[in-house]
Amino acid sequence: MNAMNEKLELVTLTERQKKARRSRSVAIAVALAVLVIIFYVATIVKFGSPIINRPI
Amino acid sequence: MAHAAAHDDHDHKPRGWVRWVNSTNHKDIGTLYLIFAIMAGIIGGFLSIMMRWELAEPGIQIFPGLASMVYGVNGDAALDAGKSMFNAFTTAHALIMIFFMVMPALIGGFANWMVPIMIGAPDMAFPRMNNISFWLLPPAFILLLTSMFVPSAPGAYGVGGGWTIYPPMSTSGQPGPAMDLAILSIHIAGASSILGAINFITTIFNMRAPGMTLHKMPLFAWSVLVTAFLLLLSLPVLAGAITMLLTDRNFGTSFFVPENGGDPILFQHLFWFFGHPEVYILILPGFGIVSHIIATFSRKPVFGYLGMAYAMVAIGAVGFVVWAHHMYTTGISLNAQRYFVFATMVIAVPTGIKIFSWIATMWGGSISFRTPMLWAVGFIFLFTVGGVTGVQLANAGLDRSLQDTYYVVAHFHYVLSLGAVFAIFAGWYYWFPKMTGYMYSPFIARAHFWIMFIGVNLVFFPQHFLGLSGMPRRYIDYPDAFAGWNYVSSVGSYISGISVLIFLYGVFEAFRKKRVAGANPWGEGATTLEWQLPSPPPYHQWEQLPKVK
Repeated sequence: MNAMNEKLELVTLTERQKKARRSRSVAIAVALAVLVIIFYVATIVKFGSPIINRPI
Repeated sequence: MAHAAAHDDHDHKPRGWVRWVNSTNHKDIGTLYLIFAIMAGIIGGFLSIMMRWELAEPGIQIFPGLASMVYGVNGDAALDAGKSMFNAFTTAHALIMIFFMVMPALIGGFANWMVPIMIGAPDMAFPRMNNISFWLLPPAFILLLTSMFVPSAPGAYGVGGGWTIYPPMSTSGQPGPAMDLAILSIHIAGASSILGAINFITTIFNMRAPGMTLHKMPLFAWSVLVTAFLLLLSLPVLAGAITMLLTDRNFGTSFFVPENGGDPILFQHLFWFFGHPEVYILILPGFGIVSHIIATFSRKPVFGYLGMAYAMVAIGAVGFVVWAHHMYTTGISLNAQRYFVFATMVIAVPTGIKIFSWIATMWGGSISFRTPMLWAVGFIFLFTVGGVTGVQLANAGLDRSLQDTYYVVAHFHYVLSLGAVFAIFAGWYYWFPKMTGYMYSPFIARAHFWIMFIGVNLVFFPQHFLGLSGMPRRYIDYPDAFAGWNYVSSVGSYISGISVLIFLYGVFEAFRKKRVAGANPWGEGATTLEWQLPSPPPYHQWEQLPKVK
């Protein structure tokens, strides 16, 4: 996190690099969103259904 | 340097209300979050001062009159409505401070502003999703505020079950619409946070500048990364739990209804599986901020950078397996209690690594106690006090007598109200010159610190004594024996309220005086990328990416 004080060297991404970065972003986000949906559904299915089916 | 980095300052930014409502710029959205958090914090703080006003002396003084004014009830009905109104205030205070003040300030505000700049990215990975994340919050907040004015239990208004909303109090105990509005509010605020978490994880993993490896990344970015993962893994569980609560209330299901085979304790497990990581969500970004401030004003790199980063990862991971320490009195088995005591104590190790690394950073450093450093050192002291009482409460045997007393209230307010809030103000005074371009008055900022420090300690330190004496939380009244320390605590809350007014005046004064702060007002100790940009940074930064060596 240090060594930022020296003069900054700047680089420009090509259009292809920008597009690749965007595709990676979308892939990561979709994976994370799927994870969220799995956790949400699993919470209800895993913990809810045994209670619904439990003999009283 | 500043000019070189801001090479592309052609600033084609939208003007007027469109800039703010339709904004996809991470700095504008960060500013919106900060303004929102300040407004929510004032409302949440107002609720707490009203509660302390009521508790300043034994007996019931304030709330029946307030209930009469707000709900239009009189006589005994006003007394009953006043009592439930007090509980509605405790619930709303907690939910507002957690979901609408601390999280928007630290994650929405500071992380939005600083993470892209610090990692050398031009913006967040998904700027439009960032806009949606913010604009979900105001409707959620309005729903929560509305819930305070609609019926809950017969003769009562507002959700009175505490932020934990345990059934059966939250199901059959409060059949009115207040609870439904609150559940919907939490759902929407949760959706906002999940979208934000996806955005931050993607940004940090995929948008870092060339050469900015994870092990070179600033600790604030690390803290936000860990926080975002905690949000992503814990919020869906809360969403599942409150969805079941909603269907129990409105669609005849019995997930938590024991007479139909349901289990109310299940809700507590699900709630705390979210709730315990949530407290780390509230504090971890503060850890990141404090690390930068301590390093900057000690003019040293932070001690044990990798240890600091992985201590946060460890805190986040272990934070997921300690939830039932909130449930020692629910009848969980002795072996389960033994496990949760041990697991909870383990968290003291990475937390200790952080505390001692901050101290080691200061050790031998060229320390200057400028305003942000005051707040950061105040944070370390107050958080440590709260952490120590946390280790005590981790013990099931001791917790058996202290649970639901003011000792617990004192503990979590030291960690959050004093810890997280001091970290927020530390970040505010550290980055205010960067965000606005103006330097505040150090005198006003220091006055704010000292008055708030005295105020909050007066509020919460005596609550340890009250808790040890057995005073239970969430009651509008108490026996005369508790009068003395309650009075002190209430006076402390008035002093804290005054300190907030000083804060607001300080902000006003800074914008009025317009003292130019410069690109880096903190000197050579401030080494992260935001200090390479002018203050305020250009509307679009890092269109050419910085190469980090």
